Amino acid sequence: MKYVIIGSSAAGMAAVKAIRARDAQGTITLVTKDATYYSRCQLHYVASGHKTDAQITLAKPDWHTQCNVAFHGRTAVTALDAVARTVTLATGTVLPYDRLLIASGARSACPPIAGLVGHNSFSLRNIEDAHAINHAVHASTAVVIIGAGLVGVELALALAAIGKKVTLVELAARPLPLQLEELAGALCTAMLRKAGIDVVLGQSVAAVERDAAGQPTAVTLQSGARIPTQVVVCAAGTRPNVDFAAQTGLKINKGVVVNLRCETSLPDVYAAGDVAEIEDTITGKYAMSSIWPSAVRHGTVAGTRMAGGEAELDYSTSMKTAVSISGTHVVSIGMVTNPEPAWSKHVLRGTNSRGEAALRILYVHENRLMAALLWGDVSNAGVYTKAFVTQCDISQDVDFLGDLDAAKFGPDRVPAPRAQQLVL
Amino acid sequence: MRKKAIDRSKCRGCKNCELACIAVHSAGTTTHTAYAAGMKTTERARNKVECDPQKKNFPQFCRHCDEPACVEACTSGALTKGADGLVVCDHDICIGCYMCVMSCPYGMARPSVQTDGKMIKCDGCRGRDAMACVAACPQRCLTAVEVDDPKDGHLLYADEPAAPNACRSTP
Amino acid sequence: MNRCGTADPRLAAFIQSKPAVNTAFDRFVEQGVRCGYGELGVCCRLCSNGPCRITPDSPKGVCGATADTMVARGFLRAVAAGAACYLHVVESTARRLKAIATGVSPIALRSPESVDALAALLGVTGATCEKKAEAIADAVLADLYRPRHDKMTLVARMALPARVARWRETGLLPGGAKSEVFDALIKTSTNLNTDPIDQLLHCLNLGICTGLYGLALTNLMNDIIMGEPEIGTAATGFSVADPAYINIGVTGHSHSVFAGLIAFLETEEGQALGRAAGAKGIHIVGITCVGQDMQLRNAACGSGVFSGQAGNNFTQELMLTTGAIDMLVSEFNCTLSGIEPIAAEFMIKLVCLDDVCKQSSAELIADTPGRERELAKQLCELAAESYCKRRPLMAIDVPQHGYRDVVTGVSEKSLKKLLGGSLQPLIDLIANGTIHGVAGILGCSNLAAGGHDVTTVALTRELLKRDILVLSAGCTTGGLANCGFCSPAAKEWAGPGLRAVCDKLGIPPVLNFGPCLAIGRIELVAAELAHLMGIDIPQLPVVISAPQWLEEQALADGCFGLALGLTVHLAQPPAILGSALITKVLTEDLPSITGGRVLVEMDPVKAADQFAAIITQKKRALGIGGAA
Repeated sequence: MKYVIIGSSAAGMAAVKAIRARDAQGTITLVTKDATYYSRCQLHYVASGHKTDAQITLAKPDWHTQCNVAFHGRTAVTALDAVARTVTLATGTVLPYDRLLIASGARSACPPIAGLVGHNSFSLRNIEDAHAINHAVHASTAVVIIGAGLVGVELALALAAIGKKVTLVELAARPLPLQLEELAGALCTAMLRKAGIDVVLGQSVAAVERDAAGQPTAVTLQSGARIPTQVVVCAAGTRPNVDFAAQTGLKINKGVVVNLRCETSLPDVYAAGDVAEIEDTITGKYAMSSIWPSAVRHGTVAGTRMAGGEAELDYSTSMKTAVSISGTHVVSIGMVTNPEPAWSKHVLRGTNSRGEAALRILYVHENRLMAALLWGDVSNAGVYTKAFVTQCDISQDVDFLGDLDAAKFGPDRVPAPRAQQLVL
Repeated sequence: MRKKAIDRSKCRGCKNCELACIAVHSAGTTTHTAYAAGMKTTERARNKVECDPQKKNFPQFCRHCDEPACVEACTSGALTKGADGLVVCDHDICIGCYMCVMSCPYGMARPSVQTDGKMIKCDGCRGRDAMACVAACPQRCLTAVEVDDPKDGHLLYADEPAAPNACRSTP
Repeated sequence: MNRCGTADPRLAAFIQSKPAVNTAFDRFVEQGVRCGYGELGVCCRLCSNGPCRITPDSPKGVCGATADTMVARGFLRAVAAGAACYLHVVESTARRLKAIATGVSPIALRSPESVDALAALLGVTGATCEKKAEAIADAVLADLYRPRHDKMTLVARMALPARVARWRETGLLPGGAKSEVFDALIKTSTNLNTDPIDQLLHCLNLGICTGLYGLALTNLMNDIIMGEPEIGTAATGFSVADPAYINIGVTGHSHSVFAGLIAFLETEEGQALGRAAGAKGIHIVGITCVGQDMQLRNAACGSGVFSGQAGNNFTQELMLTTGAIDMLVSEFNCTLSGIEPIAAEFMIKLVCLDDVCKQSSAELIADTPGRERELAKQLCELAAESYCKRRPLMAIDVPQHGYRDVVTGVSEKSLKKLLGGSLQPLIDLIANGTIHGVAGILGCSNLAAGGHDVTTVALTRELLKRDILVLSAGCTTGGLANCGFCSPAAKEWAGPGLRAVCDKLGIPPVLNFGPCLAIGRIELVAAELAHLMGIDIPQLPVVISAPQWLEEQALADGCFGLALGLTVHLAQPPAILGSALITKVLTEDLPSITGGRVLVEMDPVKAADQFAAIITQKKRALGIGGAA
């Protein structure tokens, strides 16, 4: 059995593990633009210098020998032939496959801003980006970060912590617009400002001004405001890495479309991780998968199936995030930022005996948890996640929504797994 | 391979198991010194006594699941499942992102109450002669059992149906 | 991070609006699952061989104590502490009465006419009013200080003869009250008394000390010093605090401790201190039982000075967050530790007048008989100073809360007056079936029984539906008043018979006797009813309940109820269920000893049905009340 895996981050590596758990003999060839397996969630720490490469590396240098994997690092894939069942590499090598996993992730996708492309303008998707940012900020004090999503906010905090003058520009009315609603958004803005970050909301960037040498001198906003800076980082969106698969018959929407078995529209071809678009079993719609735990889960399902095992996702959702903002933990589950009008919103606030303020915002509809935002004390967040993904009946718990606990969730509270899947 | 057998009907809610857990993970490792530094620096327990909707006590412990959601969610590699079946967090590696807290359906991946903000979870008392909670239970609600198979998780509740320890709703 | 709920909807809204404040409502939930051994009363920390717990594998403590011994010891120790609290109050009241009577204290007695009645009751005389008052005080103090083998003399004068006889037969007559408490401590120490029944009977003995001295006599002496209660209308709730005034909040149980402050504030000099600070004057805002006493006697004392009763014990933390209280003065409980960080944040000066209620951040200014005027002046100056420092920096947020038409001032005397000079009309109304019977809803407010005042309100509602007239005293009353039960419109919640009585007499269906001390008054009413009917107290068609009892004082009160032969209902059991023996004696066997019984029932509907059934049974035995 010839297994070919494109991509060596969370999804790809989970698949390797799952395949080897079932098949010690089959050949696994792993093609990746990365050189090592590292935690992409910690790139901001490398950018700021808080951590070294070694500290975020997740596998020993000889891991591929231990797992008997033919490793093509720093290599791009240029073409996929679904009929011949081959994958062509930038080096010219043609790899035949019996089973293929596309786990090529996503790259940064910035809006077309005049002057954005050029010296000292970065995105943050891989370790090379982190090195480049780290190098650039050594020589500069001011940084403008476009986009206050997870990447933008975490990078802003890390750079502010090393004394950089950071401006964070966000189009939406609040930071972390996909995770936080108004109340938490206001708290987040206050915390970012307290950390010394200049937060500019409801604004888009019109242009990056450069001097004669091509160095950024300022960023101008749609409003006309001008922010002097020497470094620009764009963290305003991603695009899946699927250029090599154009015109192959692979169904690609925003990402590579897969079912709950991580199967693509092509036989024996799977996709997992940030490159994939998968049914969200809560909304019934397809959505990009963009968080680390989902990538690992999907990679495991794909790898298991590729090696002939039974595996399927009972539930799938990307609508869950955990983030730490200056030491305050936040967990966001479900469509917190865009609730349906019919959902009833419960806002629970309190201060515990340790003096720590906590906020829990819970959206309930027809006795099911539709969304939850936990701010401060995120104990039992996983129980809320379980209530959300299983959409189980929480009518018994409405008086204790602020303190959902696994003790209340016996086996009879969780409904049977979904039988039907959306058609690809 | 040692696991915990739990008979909920015997639990009196005395929380000696919680206190023993706090003690064994504290600097002095005994209950005598567990609170010595005051509540500001005493870490919380890794287990929790709760009650179910029928108001029956429900002591909760990490199940060291066969397919641990916390390990799957861990973005730093701090959480690993060992050959002894135990799922343990390396605090030197943990970055406190709390993806695990968000993922554990039993609420047993817990936020630390200390300022370093790492996660805390049951370590099965790996390396210790006895599991601290089991040793501390005055009701024999918790007992240690030796089994050959590291599978099917770490807890054996007397009143739960088969395969209680998987993280998925179906095994 | 949920908070405990409350029966008071406006209070609930106010709590919601204060997420940054940590109060008992938060900590109740934070404490989580409670220790089962503690709940059952089967853990013991008395000696270094422990702490022991009774478990199937270890059914006795190291010393050999069984569950029965552990439970009985714990219960007696609690009742002793509770009795001690009330005895402290009667002692300080008697000492003040004596100081006034002998001229040491410059306070004027507000009701000298009440001296004769009490002197006659106690069998003491004197040539003048002052001499009689002194004799009263001396008689009370002498009893309190008697050695244990010396039976207290006023018991026979205060209680129904049939009761005294019963107590004599069963060996319950107390010696000197303080000695009874002292010896109870000894009994409950290690390897001393291990006879659970002896300890239980000692609890009843302490109950008698509590009820007759701590409760009844304190009220009667306070009537002399602070004035007789008169039925009237008052405002309650957080809204009573007027931010235009300097507001001194008060907590405690001793009305007479505030005699000097109230008198001073009634003068131009007192109010001028307030105006000099830029306010309209100085007011007192009541919180906990001493506020209920001030409300009770507002006609005679403190009119225009006392704004009203803000709320009961568990509302105090939230009351402080209104920002309208400039200083809190306490002379006893309930003064929660939780107020300290709140007082610090809201810059509220904390003063205590007795070291028994010293908070670590409170200034202790000992109340000494004879120095009342100096103390009053000092308190007003401190309050004015606090006002000036804090008001420019503090936001005021006094919510719309409470009622303006609360009927107060009910005592055993004012009730008789209302009924035309005798309690007979009340007996007639029961006999002719207009009302089914009488229930006392008494004692504390707690959070555990369903939420703050939740069971109290639910139970009261069920009793009113069943045409049972409710007499209420204590923090329960503070809670009921803030939920509208002591206002005229509450008659809507009463059954037809009770409602008709409300219309006829112009009263609400819940009669507000004031502080928990007034449980003693309600028991005087019971004694009077029994006397009029020519029966003993156990035969009365009456049940008393402490639905949300909180603390040791409540247990001591409850023991008086049991000694009197009443059925005492509790929603939550005390820490006794670990002993089958103690539980059986209290709930089944006690009627054959004193006639009293403990009835534990959490569900308000079931409890009300049981009350109604018990009353029916008693009426049947008396041959009254018709077919009910």
